Amino acid sequence: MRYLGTRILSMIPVGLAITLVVFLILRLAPGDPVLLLAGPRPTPELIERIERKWGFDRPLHEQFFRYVSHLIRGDLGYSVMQRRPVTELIALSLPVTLELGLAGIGLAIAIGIPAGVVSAVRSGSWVDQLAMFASIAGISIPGFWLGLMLIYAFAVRLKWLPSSGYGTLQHLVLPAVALGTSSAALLSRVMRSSMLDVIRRDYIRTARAKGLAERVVIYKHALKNAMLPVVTILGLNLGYMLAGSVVLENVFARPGMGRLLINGILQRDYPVVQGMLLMLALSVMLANLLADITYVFLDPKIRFD
Amino acid sequence: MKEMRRFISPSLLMLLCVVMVVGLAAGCAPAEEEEAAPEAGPQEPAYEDTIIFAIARDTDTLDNFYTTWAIPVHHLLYEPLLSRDWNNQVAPGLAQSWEVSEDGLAITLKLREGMKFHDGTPVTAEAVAEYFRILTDPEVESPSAGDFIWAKNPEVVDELTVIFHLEEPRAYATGTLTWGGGYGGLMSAEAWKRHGPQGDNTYGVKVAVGAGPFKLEEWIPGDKHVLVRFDEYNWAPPWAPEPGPVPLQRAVFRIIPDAATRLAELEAGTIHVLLDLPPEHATRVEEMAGVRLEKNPSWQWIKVMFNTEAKPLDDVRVRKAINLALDREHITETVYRGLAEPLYAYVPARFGDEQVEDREAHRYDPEAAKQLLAEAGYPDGFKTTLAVENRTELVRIAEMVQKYLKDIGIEVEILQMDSAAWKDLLRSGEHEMYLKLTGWFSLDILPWFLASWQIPYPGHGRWNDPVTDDFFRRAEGARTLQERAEIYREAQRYLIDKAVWCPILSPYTLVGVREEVEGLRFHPWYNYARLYGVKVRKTNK
Repeated sequence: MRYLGTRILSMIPVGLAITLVVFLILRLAPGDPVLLLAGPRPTPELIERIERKWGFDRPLHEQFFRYVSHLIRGDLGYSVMQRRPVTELIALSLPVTLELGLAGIGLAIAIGIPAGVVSAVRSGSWVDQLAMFASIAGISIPGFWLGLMLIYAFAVRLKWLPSSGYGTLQHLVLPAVALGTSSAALLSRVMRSSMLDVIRRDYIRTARAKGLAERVVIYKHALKNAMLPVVTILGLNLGYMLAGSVVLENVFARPGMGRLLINGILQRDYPVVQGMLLMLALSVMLANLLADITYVFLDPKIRFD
Repeated sequence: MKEMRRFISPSLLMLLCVVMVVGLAAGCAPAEEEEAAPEAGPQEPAYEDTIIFAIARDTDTLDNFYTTWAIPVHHLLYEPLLSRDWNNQVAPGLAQSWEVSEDGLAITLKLREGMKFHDGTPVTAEAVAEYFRILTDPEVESPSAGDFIWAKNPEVVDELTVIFHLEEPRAYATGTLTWGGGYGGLMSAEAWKRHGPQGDNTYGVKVAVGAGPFKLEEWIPGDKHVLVRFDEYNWAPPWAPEPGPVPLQRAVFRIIPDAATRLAELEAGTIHVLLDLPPEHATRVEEMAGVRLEKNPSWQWIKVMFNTEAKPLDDVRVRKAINLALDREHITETVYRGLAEPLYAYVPARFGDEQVEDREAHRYDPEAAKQLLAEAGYPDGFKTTLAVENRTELVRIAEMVQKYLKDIGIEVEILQMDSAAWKDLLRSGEHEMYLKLTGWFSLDILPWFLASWQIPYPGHGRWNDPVTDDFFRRAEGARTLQERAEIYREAQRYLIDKAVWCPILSPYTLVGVREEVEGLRFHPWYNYARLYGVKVRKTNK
């Protein structure tokens, strides 16, 4: 418990550091949100008023401390372009991204882990070779290309599924496959090598020798022990998934966090970009924490002290 | 071993299925899936109640006071006070008549009777006056205020008559009233006060109240706008096929940022009209079954602009030499393949008789160009830079300009940057040449870029010339639109002689329309943003 407490507390300085770095990069990058905000034909007075109103005329350190002091109170500021609280924008787009991310991970687990186990158990067979070939393909194909191909096949040609948009379960299928495929491929490879490693251990031989059913050997003894590296990869993969969803949200026209982030960057909407990156950093940290906690359940040798 | 096989087969099957489906379906989908068989028998065609548009980029807000990115949704929600007919002439809108006084200082508008906003409140002279009072109030900080500053003193004469008192004549005032969309379309000031920034702050997102043919049902930012027909609408402008409610019951605008996805949707028939069609995809649309490509002149044009203070671009002979060095026809053909037209004027052909074309000054004549350079003291050319935004067509044009200028000895370094960084560079004054895509529909774009009081922003060209300023002052103070146009024509001739710009081409407006859409017609002023008389035939899918 103490360990967990420290881990969670240590997220605060990391979060602050990220906030500072993002803040500086944004302000040092060329571009000015005021010009976008003032419309295509602004007057100098209007530009001045807007600068004053949003505090862009203040010195940088003052802007930063103001931002942090609001942040502590849970206020991520106002979107400059959309004139709405950033928290509201996140609340709207987070579920969209989360839905896709979870579906992608779910798919990756559902396909990657069984495929890896099968390949390991029947190592060297044609099944193994086919699965490993598929996994190489899965890792190599870029998600956006796969997405476009899926759209072409299932939406344009077969007309089974909608090609883009958001709302129903049907809208989720294609982007989830496009997002989950490469993770599934990666997972299956990690699963396979980890499983191969475990299967050759003495305790597996012992388990078989004492006459346990093969299913029990594989499921209960081998799989659980082989899961450790897989969990690590899953945790690390979450960051990749988020990056992938930024691209796929564009391809599939889903109004999620990735779209919000990209538009925020293009329009120099500082509060939105800061809020988004902070959220993304937090979720990656949380995922890694979750992975660490999972270790305890999988491996009694690991204790947090 | 038997145990193991039982354990394996379901997962194996699942894996195989996924691999096969993904692989095969992507590769070899049935090719003759085209539906749309001709209707059997002479039965009455049935119509869909919804039309679906795809656009690339969502708006920032549906609040006219604040939007900086108007989309057709603004046009459908908000009816302008005046309109433009099919010949681009000013025509009635919410106002059935308008009158400019002899001295040009008073504009009287007479509204039609019996018009209502979407919330049922009447459209009155007071509602119009209040709208413009808010729009021009400096506290409101509207980015559109600058264009309507002449409208800050409205006087309500009676229920249906409003007079705008101008401080000086402004011929283009009636022109701005036809803008509609995010700029001149009338919003209900009452609704705005209740739901705007001073109210519950939902205006422009959840609430939008106008007097246009469609009402807002729902906007999911970044996803879609759903509009429903306003049944009480019967004040369409005289150039519309019928005054009453439009035939369609709903109009949906979906935001699909990825161009390939937009095309796929159009091909699948899940959208009817694709509004933002990048030129590189036009051929694919032309080849699609059941879809037609519409090409029309646009309000956009691309030109090289000069920092006229930077050496040696401050020399008119150098600027003229650059103008003569470019083969505009070849650049247009290479980059746009028939989807743009070369431009020999400072505004595109869509400006009609307001445009002054000069093929002589913009001909391709590298020998004359070299001679001019020699006269200016650069017989061996010089080095300069060309700043360009990161967009495929713009970068390709920049590369061609680079090649042509090399032919006359000018070494051009292309500075490629994102839009915000590019604008920053132009503001700094450290730029030399820059390539710019401009989209605008009125000649006041010339003073916008070239009047001395616009330096440094947006007067990036730093053109500081009293003669030019005088033209612009006279044009904007002209009493009639004809007088204004004449002064601007003179100004264009003068500017071409000074070679302050180097026009290159004007891209077409490209739109993909499914053939089941009937009555959608390109309007010289509103493009496709009005849906009078538009219907969508049912296809037997």
